[in-house]
Amino acid sequence: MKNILLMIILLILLVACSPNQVNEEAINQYKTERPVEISLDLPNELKTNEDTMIEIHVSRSDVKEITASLRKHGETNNSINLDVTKKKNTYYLAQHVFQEAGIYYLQITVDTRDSNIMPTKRLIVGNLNEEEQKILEQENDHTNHDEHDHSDHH
Amino acid sequence: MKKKPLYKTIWRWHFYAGILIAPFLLILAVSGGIYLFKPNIEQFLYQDYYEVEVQTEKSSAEEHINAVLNEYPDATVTRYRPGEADDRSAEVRINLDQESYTIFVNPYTNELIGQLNDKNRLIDRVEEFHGELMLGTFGDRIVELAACWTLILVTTGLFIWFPKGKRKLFGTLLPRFNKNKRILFRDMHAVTGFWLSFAIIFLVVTGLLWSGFWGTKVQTLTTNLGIGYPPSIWVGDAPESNVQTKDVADVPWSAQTMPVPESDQQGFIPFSINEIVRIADEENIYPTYEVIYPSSPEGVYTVSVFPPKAQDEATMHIDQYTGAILADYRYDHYQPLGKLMAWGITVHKGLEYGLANQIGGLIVCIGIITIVISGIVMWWKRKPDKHLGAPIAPSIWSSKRLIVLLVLFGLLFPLVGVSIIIVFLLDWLIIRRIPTLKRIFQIR
Repeated sequence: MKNILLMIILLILLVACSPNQVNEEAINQYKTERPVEISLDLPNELKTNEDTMIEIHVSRSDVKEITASLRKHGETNNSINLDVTKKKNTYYLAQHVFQEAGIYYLQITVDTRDSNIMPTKRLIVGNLNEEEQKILEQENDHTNHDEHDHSDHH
Repeated sequence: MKKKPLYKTIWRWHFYAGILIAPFLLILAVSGGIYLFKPNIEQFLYQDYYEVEVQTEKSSAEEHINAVLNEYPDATVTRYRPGEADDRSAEVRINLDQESYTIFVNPYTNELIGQLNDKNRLIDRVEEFHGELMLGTFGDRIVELAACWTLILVTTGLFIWFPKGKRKLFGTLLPRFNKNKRILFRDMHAVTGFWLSFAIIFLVVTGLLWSGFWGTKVQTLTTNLGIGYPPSIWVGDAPESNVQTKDVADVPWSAQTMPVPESDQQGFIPFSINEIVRIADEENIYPTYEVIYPSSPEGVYTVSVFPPKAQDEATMHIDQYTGAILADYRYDHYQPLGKLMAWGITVHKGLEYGLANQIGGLIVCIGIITIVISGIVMWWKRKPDKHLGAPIAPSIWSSKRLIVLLVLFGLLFPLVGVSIIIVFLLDWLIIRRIPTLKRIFQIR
């Protein structure tokens, strides 16, 4: 009886003195996702009138569909789809020749059975004129920088 | 009937704890009783902000946010809540000059209907009073202490109530209205207390889940053991974006004339809020959800909803650059204790079962007020002039079982343990050494 009591007391003390920190492995005991990851490789400097190679690496081989579309800043309804060819298991390639300098948005969509992504990369091709420089500066968005709390559960 | 020492000791505990905890119980019952009707009160207070005239098509989330930013160019957007119904406004939460505001937007015309400084939200202040007496962490600890001592009050109270000898219906399960006032107050206290004991214990234990000390400990422990809420809902961090920070577009350059640095020529740009709303709707998140903006370049969009019914809860983290769903936790993904806690919390708040739940909660609040007031009246009527009127203190060492129980309880609720030690020291070092105090507290 005394031993059991001692055990209980020690156990409670052990818990009470443990730090209030969620273990990194704790997450694996709950439902987990397998999000597709992506990395894009382009030449460091993008120039006009040059064949530009866009290398796409994805983290999984079970890709159902992959697309790439490109649009110039300000031309919201005028995007072109690029041909994406599969080179290896998780490696894809698209090509494009930029006709004019400017700010472009390249959006890649990757669909697998359980994870879809559609990241957009902003590309700067050639030298920007002053107007375009300003656009970039103004894009300093108004989001972020607030602490992310849970106070609303209460 | 000759009272046994154990009975006297327990009565003494009930007596002192009751006097000390009574004011807090009154505060909790009154503020809790108001908070139960939060949805109704807020619907009444903010009706003009909530309701909009239905038109053909809503504009996009981005347009709502841009409308707000046009009006408040220095604001930072922290949250967005699309309206759940056709006639419900959208809400944009912003930070402006260190203060948090909610801006209500007509989702059809992008017109700003109204703004609310969040610190002026009446019900939030009631909640702050309920949870921490508006005293921050210190208040939180006091409320936690009062809640734990309430458990002691209920158990000691049940012990005193438990009928000895012949069992009678009246005075045990039903109040006696036809006797004198003293008996009426006694029955108001003890009979009500018996009937509500289970509900009070339920409210205390579920309420303790919010507490900063015990609640955080329990949440961390159950999450770590894989039996509670998944991480990031109560405790633990949200996942981070899979995209490396160096691959992210960096916008602000110091001087206008400076050319774009080479490293910034290509970068991922954050997802549009429209896409986040689309994903949330596609994934069937309960429509009263809100989107919490990422708090850093590595952060994620969090779609979060805590509707009236625990079964509809959802927390989803979305990569702000790729739109990948990094975590998607619904009620069904909570582990057993997490589900139980989620249900307990919505019942505590009077939400889970609608009006019946609210009325039930209100009855318990009124019952608690009745118990507290009748308890004080009984004491006041009986109180002799020269001392507090508690039963004479037998030595605490007379009951080993009681000591074991106290130690266990003190360990299970460490704040209670600390307060018991303080009471013991006060008793030993001060009260027993000053004759006047000894007389007041009836110590021999």
